Amino acid sequence: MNKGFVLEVKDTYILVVTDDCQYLKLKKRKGIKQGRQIYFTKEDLYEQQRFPVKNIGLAAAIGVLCMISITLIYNFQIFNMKEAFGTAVAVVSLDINPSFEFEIDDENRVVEVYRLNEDAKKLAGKNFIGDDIINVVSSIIDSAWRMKYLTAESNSVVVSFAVIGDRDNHEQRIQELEKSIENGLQIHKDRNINFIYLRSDAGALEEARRNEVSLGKYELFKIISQKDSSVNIDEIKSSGVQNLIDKINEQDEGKANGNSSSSDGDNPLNDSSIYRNDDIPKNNPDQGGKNEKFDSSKHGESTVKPENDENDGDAKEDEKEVEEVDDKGLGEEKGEKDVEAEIPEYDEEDNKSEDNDESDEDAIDEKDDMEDVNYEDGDYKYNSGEESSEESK
Amino acid sequence: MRGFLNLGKHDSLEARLEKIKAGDEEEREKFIKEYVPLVIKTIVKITNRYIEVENDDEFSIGIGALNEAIDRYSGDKGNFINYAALVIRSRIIDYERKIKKHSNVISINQMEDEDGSKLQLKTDGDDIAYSLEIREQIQKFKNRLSEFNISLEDLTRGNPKHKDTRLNAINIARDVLKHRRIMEAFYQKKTLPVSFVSRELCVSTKVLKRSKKYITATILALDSEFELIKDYIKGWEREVKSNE
Repeated sequence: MNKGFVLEVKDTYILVVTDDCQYLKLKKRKGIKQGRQIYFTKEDLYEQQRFPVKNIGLAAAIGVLCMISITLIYNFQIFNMKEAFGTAVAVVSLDINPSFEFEIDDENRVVEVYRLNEDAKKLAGKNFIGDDIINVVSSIIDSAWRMKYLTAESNSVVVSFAVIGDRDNHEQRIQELEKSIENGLQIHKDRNINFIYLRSDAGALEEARRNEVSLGKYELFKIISQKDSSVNIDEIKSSGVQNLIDKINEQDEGKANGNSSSSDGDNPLNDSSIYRNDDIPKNNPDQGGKNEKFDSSKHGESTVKPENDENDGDAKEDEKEVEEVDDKGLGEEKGEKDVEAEIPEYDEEDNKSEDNDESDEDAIDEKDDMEDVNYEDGDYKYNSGEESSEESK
Repeated sequence: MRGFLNLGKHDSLEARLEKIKAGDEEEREKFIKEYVPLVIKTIVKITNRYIEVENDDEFSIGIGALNEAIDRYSGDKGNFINYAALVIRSRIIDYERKIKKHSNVISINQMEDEDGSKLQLKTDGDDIAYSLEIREQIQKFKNRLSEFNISLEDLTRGNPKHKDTRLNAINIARDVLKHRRIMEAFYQKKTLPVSFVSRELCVSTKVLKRSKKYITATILALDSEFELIKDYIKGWEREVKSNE
């Protein structure tokens, strides 16, 4: 890191004198003014044109050659690339309102991305392939938060996942996946985001894909349609996640006034679960009496109450600013793109990061052991909210 | 050296984090110092602004986030760098959101950005006086340079890259400043009298010619009231000496 003193601001670059007495050109960034002192890294250096004009023909020729050879290599490689990242073994969907679906491989790396609506296309220009699913989901949540897709009023994020393929350890795998996603999203804990995790399966995924809707929304559809059979999938498709959650809440309240216990028995959702990570309701009297490991609707319905008390006052202000933020946001996608892509190039830390990868394997082994324990304790953990929230810390 | 230690280093990163978590404050400080560039880089990528030395809220939040990342990090969170970047990013975004709520504070500054004088009156008086003064100093420095037919762009191109060469050039500049006759010739001819200096101060003409612009600029800076740039030069000389 260096300190620099801005001597002059030009159209595309700035001129600084540094604290080690160099005169440098740095990239121009917004808000910079003459006479300011700034911190900068070598990433900020303004690239000067390397080739004198007389060599431009040669440079162009080399460029063309490179392009041809890259195209050739790429054509050969493209099939191998998919191999390199392994085949998809699970699907994770993310609905904020931007809806995404990711296929991931054995090591939680993204092998395929589907952007399921316009918002999703707007939010992230990056292709994510090869990145860790946790990081991808986390950075999308960051961007959504920043672009105010997530606000005090609309604070629900639905993460749904299903294991695909024909291996037999589905149950274990889905638990692992769930746990690591939940853990990974802990860093957003302070934001008052209402995370809803929905377990699903390959059958539901097939249905969801047939209806061209995300897995998460399809699971919500299942919950809603269970009580309101008039609802159809197209309605679901076009409405936002928060609306759906509110709808479920309404249904829940309606149900609470009527007959609360009748629907438990014939609940069609026994194979999927809905619950939230941070604050599973403490006053749920039916809870103790249940034996299903991941019982569905009870948890879900009572969890999806918005908890925006604290932010209520600011909500309007937030809305006013949405447009402005959107404009900015587009520019910032680039920034987002870079974060993960470039960090590994960071020279000193580069080595460390490689080394760290080695340690990941160990860490995964360790985690596997942990998962097993948790799995055995499944009844206990997921049936009692307070316990579970403690564990997740 | 670091390259050779590749294998041992992973251990040391883990071990260091362990040590820090166990309460080794000195190690924590050292660690954070090393990772400051990561913090800066991550912040700049989000805000697309430089972090100002005088107004470094974002910087301290970034450092706070790095601290948080250290405390929260465990093996199952993947690569530490990626993890730390995620945490920093999140905290900075939170901060940005918070700041925007007090938007009237910001908006004055923003308007000031776009159209200078009128709105400046609303901001702190000292601040304006200070920045006007600095602007004036920079302008004087630039005028001086142009008398010697040098532009700031020229300086960015003529930088002696190596630290020692630069330091040597500064030393030459200081010697020249002390030499009355050279200085007279310098201001009269509006150029560094290379052969004269070479003869009087026993430096090779090659060195002088190569760093001519840099030396000229340094002389002009040191022989002015441009305190800030003088402080930069002095500060660096001191730092180099203390490292030796």
